[in-house]
Amino acid sequence: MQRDDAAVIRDCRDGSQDAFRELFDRYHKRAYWIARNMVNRHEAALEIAQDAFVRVYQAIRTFDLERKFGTWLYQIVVNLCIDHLRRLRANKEQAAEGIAEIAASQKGPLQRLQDLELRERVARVMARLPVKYRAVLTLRDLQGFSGEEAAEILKCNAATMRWRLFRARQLFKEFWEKTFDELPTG
Amino acid sequence: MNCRQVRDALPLYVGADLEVGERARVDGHLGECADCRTQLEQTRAVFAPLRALGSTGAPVPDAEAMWCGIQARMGWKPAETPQRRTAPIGGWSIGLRRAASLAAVFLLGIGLGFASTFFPAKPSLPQPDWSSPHRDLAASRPETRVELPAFADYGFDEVQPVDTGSGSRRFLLWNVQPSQGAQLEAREARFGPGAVRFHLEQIRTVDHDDLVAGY
Repeated sequence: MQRDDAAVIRDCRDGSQDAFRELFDRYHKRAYWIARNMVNRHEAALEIAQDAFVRVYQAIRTFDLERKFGTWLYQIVVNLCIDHLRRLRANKEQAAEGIAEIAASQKGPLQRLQDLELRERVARVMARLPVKYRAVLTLRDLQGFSGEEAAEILKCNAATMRWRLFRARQLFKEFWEKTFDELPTG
Repeated sequence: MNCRQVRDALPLYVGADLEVGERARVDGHLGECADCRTQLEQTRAVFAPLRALGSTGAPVPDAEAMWCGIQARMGWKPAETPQRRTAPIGGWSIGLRRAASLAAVFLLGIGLGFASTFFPAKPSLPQPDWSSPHRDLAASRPETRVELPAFADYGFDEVQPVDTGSGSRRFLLWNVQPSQGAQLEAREARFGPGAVRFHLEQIRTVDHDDLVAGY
């Protein structure tokens, strides 16, 4: 039976590297994919996820065991992504990387190609969004966090979260339709 | 609710992010309005694929590399890896092995000489001064020119043009090398088929590990 996070964190505080590896195994996928969805680059996402784990370890003694570990980690990931994107000043379009590995699994070549194309489209539109809207769409729509969880990760209240989500989806739809609308015009 | 109010609510409605009462009012209107139902389907079509693209739970490429990087940054000793076999090569004697090593070094030397003759070293791009926050190249190298496709030869693996709207163009150059970054500004001199030539004007280091240059 899997131990709860609090027990593992207590072991981390006692200096157990194995315990920290256990936390890594539990949370690294989500941490990486949040970063990947936000910054759209494998190397940068890897680096951000790594950085987040290092910061978490360095501050693990101050962590309130009543809180959810994942929320804390993802807060750090999102903040690092925001810093990263702001440093890039990248409201410019970023081409999606060769991300065929994401679409691997059991899908056939055609389906994988379609996935890749769709990813590139989504990435191009996401890259046009202001960072705070990119964050909210990543958490709510791409990663499937609930509204409450996303609000907690973004450290905002429910009303702010809903407003940002509304604007983010509105802008996403607008940019999507401007960029890819293939319907014949009258 | 009228059509406009409903359409304003659709971005939240499609993700089930409306409050219960508001959702019920939108549902009531949608039951009676075919135009708004069409709008709803169009909105859904935009957002439906997003969830599937989040890759939640998918394996992370290079997950072990990520862990090793964490260990390295913590100063932790990485886990022992299985040692390679060190059995004698086909039972050769020590003398034979030494002779083989010398021969290999000799052949490698010849090979390197051959390679440097036929595959000369990369041309040298004017290198950014990584230690200086700002460096104006316009004064020192007014005629420096760089062919865009040649950046691949300098370790840049991706080049993205960005229009600045101010008469010059900047390019984001993504570098395979982490921890080095610079933002380069250049005046565009000439467009050609598949090539752009620039006058370097300024190199500015930036504290970033991915973005290397903006031309």
